[in-house]
Amino acid sequence: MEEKGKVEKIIEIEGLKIETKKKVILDGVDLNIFRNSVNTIVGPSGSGKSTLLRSLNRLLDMEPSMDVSGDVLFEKRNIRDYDPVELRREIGLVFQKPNPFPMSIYDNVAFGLRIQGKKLKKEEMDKLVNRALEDADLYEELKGNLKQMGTSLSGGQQQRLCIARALVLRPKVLMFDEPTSALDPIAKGKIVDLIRALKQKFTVILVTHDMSLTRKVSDYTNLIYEGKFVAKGTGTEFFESEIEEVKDFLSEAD
Amino acid sequence: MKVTNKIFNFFTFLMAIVPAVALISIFAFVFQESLPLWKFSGFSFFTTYLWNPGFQYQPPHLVHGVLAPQGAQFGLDLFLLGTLSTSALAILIAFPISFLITLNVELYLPSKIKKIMVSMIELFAGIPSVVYGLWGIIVLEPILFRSVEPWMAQHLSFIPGFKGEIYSGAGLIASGIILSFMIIPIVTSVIVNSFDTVPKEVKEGLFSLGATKWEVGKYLTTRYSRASTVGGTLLGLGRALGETMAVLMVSGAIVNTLPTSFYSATNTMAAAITSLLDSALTDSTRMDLAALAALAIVLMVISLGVSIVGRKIAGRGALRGYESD
Repeated sequence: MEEKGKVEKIIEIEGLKIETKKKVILDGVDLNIFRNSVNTIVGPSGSGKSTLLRSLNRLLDMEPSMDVSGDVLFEKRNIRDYDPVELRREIGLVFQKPNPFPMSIYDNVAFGLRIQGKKLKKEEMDKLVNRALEDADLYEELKGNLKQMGTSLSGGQQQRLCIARALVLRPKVLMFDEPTSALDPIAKGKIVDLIRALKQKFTVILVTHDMSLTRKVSDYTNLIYEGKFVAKGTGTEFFESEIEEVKDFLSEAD
Repeated sequence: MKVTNKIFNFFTFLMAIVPAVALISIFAFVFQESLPLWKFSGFSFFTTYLWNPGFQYQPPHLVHGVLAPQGAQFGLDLFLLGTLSTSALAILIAFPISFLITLNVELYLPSKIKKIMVSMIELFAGIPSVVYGLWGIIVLEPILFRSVEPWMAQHLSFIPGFKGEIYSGAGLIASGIILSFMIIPIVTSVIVNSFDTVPKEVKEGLFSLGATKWEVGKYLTTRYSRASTVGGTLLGLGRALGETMAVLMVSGAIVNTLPTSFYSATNTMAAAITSLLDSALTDSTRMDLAALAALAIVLMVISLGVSIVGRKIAGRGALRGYESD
């Protein structure tokens, strides 16, 4: 919304088509993701939102039944030219259902660093883990209890732990797939504050069908409908749109 | 209606307790049959490797209140050693292979080929053990005898146990290999099944943190589903411990000689029971039979123990620690 002309594109999606043998999920979509902003993708269930996220970090490579064509440029370079492992460290993903690993809070956050094979000294590791927990607004609540099992936390804390786990790798982009739909209102409020804070350091892509969340955090909102983007706009523009599908979707979602 | 219900309930109850009753009564009968041996040998049954049915043509004598052939002596050490070493070797070979099959099937192969692979593996479990044994004699033993064991003796002789004379190819190595073939399907199917029950979010969570397929597979099998991996391996071990025919055919079925190297012939408890039974039945004091029954009791206790532990661990399942509260 602010200084629209100056904002830099970090991801450019051009003619992205994703289909299985039975159905077309995304039908040649174009979309830009802007740096240090919250880029929201809204749409009804089954409209291809989550599939789009999974194509951006190439998680879809794991599903051979999905046929992906078109181009996605991340920092001007086609994601196909990245090593998928490298790409996923640059573009983190937080899932709808919190999925901490059955290990301590500390180990959960340190996991991504450890599998990188970097031999970090204990103090360095501690520093990185603590910083990620701070960024996920979890450090104050949990400091001193980092040996506790990650799975023993409340739903909201688990979700922020998963965010910390992604943040420890210092990704450039952090994608959220319906991050609040499994959470109670208080836990949801914390995630809202967190997403707002995160965009100072990271680029956020948020997939949701929760319009109150969108209103609160979104800088750029994009409505996807039957595999196509039918409306795009900055936070306020979008909600005042005269486009039929937007009106329909807003009236149904609210 | 009420009467038919009662009859039905009674019969289902009867059928339900059959396995438990059968297990207990088998154990009881075998144990009873073994009683004279415990009186005759006492603790020495566990401390010697010598197995001698005694002189059948001389009059039996009374020892500790029981009749036994003269010169009879029974110890399980050789068979116990053979059972444990062949099974351990089988697990050492089977586990890494099962692990790699699982990784391939779950993470590398397209789902169509996965289905074919999984049913092939299950098919393997159905091959009768005598077929494995025959294959062992015809194919495996000559290869071991002519190529593999001479090579090992030449190049690995600096490792204890690898230096020694090569006899026939039959023995510990052949038995371990054959047993590993027989348990790979069991171990693999348990690990594959547990892999399938790992929630998609966990797999995707690992990948989205930049884990490679190898790292995901290693983490899921050794940490996340460790219970199933250990459980499946123990189930396989249970099978290996009790396997009889195939091992009898390729072990060399030796008695009264302790192995001196990995190339030596060996014998297992299960194989010994089968091969020594014929002559034991001719012993009028039934002491020979009692000794084999004692061997059977020990084998039963070991394999039951392993199976129970295996089932318990496997049953804890892949979701351990994943509860959200």
